[in-house]
Amino acid sequence: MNLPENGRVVVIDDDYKEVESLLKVLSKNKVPVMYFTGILEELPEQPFSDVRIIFLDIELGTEGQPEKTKVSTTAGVIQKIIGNRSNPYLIIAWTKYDKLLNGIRKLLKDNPPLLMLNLEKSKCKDEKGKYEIGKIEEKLKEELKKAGIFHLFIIWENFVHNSAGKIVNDFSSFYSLDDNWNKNMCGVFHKLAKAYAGEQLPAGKVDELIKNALLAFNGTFLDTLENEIRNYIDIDKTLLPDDKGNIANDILAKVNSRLLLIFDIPDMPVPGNIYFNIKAPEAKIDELFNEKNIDTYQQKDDLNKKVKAIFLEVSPSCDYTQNKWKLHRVLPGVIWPVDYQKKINQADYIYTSRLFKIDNEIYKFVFDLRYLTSLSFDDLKDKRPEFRIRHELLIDIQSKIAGHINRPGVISLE
Amino acid sequence: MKENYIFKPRARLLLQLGDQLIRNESIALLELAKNSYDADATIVNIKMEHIDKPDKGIIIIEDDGIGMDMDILRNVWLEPGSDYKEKLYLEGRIKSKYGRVPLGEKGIGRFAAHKLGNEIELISRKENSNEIYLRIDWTSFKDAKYLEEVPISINKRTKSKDFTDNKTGTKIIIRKLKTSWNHLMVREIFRSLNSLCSPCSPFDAPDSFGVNFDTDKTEWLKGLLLWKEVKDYALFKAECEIEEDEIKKFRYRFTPWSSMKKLQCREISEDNMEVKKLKKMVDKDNQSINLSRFQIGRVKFEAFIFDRGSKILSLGVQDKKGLKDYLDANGGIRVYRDGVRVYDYGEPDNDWLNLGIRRINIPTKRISNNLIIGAVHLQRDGSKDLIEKTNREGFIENEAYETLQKAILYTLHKIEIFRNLDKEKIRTFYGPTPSSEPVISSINDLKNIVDKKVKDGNLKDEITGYLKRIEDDYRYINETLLKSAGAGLNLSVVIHEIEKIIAELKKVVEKENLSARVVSLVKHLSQLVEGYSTLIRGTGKKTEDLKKLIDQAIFNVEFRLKAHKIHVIKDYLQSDGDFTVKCARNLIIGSILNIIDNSIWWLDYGDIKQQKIFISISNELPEFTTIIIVDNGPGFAMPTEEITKPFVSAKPDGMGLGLHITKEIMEAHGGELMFPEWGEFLIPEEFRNGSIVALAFRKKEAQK
Repeated sequence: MNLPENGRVVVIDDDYKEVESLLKVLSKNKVPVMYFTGILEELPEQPFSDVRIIFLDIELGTEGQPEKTKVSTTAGVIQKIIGNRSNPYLIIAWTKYDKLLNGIRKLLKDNPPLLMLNLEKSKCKDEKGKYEIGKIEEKLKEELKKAGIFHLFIIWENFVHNSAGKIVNDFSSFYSLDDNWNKNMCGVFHKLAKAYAGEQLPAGKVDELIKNALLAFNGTFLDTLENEIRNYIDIDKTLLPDDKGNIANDILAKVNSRLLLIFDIPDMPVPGNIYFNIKAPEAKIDELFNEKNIDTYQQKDDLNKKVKAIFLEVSPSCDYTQNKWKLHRVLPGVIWPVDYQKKINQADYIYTSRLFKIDNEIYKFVFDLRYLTSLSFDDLKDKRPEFRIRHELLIDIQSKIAGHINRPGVISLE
Repeated sequence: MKENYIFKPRARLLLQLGDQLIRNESIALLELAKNSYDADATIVNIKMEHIDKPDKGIIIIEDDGIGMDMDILRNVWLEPGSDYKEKLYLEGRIKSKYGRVPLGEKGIGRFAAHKLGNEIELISRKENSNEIYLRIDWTSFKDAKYLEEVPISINKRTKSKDFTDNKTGTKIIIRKLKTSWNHLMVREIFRSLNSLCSPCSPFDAPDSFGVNFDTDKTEWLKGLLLWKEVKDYALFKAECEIEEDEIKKFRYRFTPWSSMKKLQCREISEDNMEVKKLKKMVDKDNQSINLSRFQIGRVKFEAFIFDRGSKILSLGVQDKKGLKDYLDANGGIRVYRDGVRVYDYGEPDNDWLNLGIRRINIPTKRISNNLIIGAVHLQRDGSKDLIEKTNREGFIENEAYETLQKAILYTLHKIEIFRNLDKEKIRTFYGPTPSSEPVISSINDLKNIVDKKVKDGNLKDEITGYLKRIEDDYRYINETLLKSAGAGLNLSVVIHEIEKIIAELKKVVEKENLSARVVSLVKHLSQLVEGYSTLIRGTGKKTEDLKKLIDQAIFNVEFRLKAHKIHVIKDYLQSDGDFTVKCARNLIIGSILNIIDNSIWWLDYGDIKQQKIFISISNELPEFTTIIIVDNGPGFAMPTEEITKPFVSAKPDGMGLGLHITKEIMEAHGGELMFPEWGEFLIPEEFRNGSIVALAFRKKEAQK
């Protein structure tokens, strides 16, 4: 049974007695839950962004009220808990009013559940009308099978949770758990921060110290996570059917953006930053497309309007960390609309990326390696980066630049 | 190579048509009577002799209409399926001196005669023409192969034998009867013929068209009550006219018998304030019912409503059984077009308005077929979208027909509102004491029937699930009431209602094929029982801040308010002071919700452009903390002293429990449900005409 193990399960029922047995089942399966009765004052001020499963009663102090009110109340409570941001979650009905589930789905149209399952509360009771834990567990297992690929997300989130737990366990046990533990660990955190930030660590800023100390866990965390996943044995192969399907460009671009771009970034010069509108030699669009592939003048005109000049900060990360950089190394390029992707020049000095989604449009990054340039710190002083490319993609581009600069010129006769 | 062929109808086709188009003997005779109507007759005499012996039996139908000449008989009567009458009507060339529109426009009436007997003589005379005579032996159609092989001879009499002295008309003599009649069949025919003409006054009286029925079996008709004897027993009468989306005319009369000395007659018309507020016709989803979307025309609805309670009948009816039998056989709502009946609406097997099912929801408040003799009058000219089926079994069920159904039901419900108030008065002074039914055992019986009859597993689960809930809730209500002597709640009326519903439901489930409809009934009942069990469950009182309870109630209906674009003015947030009282949280939230729920409905019904609900809280009333809920809708459609009674609702399909439960809750809290006048509290001017409801709680000090 795959259920989130880190508190992203919500149980909503106005009567604690009605959910007591269900809570026992969840506890037995190591699933922490958040419990709400539906009383307005007890609901969170701000919604959670990562709720995955909601066990739901559709009778939240609305006995005797019309169905419309029962539905309105329940949808209101769910909305208070999950908000309007789209995130995948399941509703598992734990109610005698399961016929009202569709009405609730309609009201939650801005953030609908991925799936609505039904535990059929009445079938989880024994002959005397008492809830039976075994029956609940069995029914829950059966219903969760319907969630399909959603399980893979839950499994991954559980690995993340477990990996983080391991790191905390390991690091916290370097010193014996006695009265000095706090003092001793304090020193470790200072050292971790220093190790992570290097010369960049500003003196006297405790908040930056804490941030960098926490960032220092990331590397080992990723290794631990990788290890955990690689050692994953009891894989339920039915969770991923052999159905590759056709994925639309739009989805590919969204996934790539999620994997390789960071949009919510601080305003600081970091390798990987992408800038618009800076004063520097731009890549020449005429040289980026293949003249032969442009059919009409209108196409060329249209392309000119749609491409947008960008600049990628490609300075080596170690220069940045160790505060050794003297100039910004900037690679000019463009974001290139997907409609014209076949028109891109295939020359070896042109770098073309996969599809990305930026401002609701699908683009490729196209860089002209020949225009690699340097800018002074003053040149970028007031410029805010639009977004950042992730380290993996940056390294790929850096290696292409290196290859382009180092290409041997061989003198030979044909 | 192309070859052309033609249909060659077999002779027996005519016999088959007669058998299949005309459902029974009663309809056959009615068809013949309708032909007489079409022929401008003022009277049709029907005589039946020796009809218990088919060989000897004879049925004579004779009218004084315009009659037929040789030309019409040959070119119209002998051409089955003739559109002669229909064409005349459509072309507006109706020659009828009374301007009657033909009822028998399908040209199938002549088969009716064959339904009754194998041998027919037809004698007819038209003005200034010779009497003509025709004889058909239908058995010869069985023997011959093709229709064309059966000769029909028509004689022109130089001297009239039947229509002397320049009289005109048509006489049909039927012999060799196809069935041996018994007394039940004759009584049924008698009843049908009597109902052919409207019992009430239609728009245009059909110019004294009447039916005389005569038989040598007078003993078979013994004890049959006549309409003129019965109609005076109706305690409630109504006449309404509906057009477009409104009830244009409304007249309701309560006419208690002289023996009911404690009661007085009363009459309500369309000038009554409450009637005015309910004129607009809507369905249960508050969608307009508009007859003008179709050619239905102005519709008149008349109703005579009876009380069948034995104790009541004892006050004024000598032949109680006779009246009940009459109502059983004749009760229902019939449809008349230009004063002549459209079959088979209002017949015992045709509950076209689903009054039976509707009644199961709230038995004591809804009128069933055996309590009403009603007539829906249509004008043929204005109602072309209501198309009669060829087999004379009502209208084709199109949208126009469904709209008519909804309109009649809406109107009937408004009549019920007033009738229920008067009925309650009768019950108060003369009614019996309700007796208790064994509910739990009835539920168990129901479960067993469902278990045996329902094959579909899901349906079975669904019905059983509801029954289980009903049983749990009901048991809880009963046990709690017994233990706590009612906990201050007056639920006897409701418990009685629940018991009656279950008893009726059992009957339906036993009788009918179980269907989704039964599910909806069980569901309805389950909601009713749930409403009341709630009342008893949530009695734990704590000190609560009323402002927070209002917040919660608004939160509970936030999606609904948004969908209806209703703006809530939260005036209570501006009020300072102590608004805490000792109460049962869920019950008070439920009460606020009941009031808001009503407002949502009536704001929609009133077509209010900017719909608003104003909620405030006040300590002004001495000893009370009061929540005031007001809307800018049309205000209450019924007297406020009535709307808190159980099962009283002006909403179509409304159960009528919301305000009743609210009142019970407030009283159980030592408080009051009030309906203040505008001005008693500080309420903005724009809410002056809306409904004003106050929940008045005794202050904590007073509670102690």
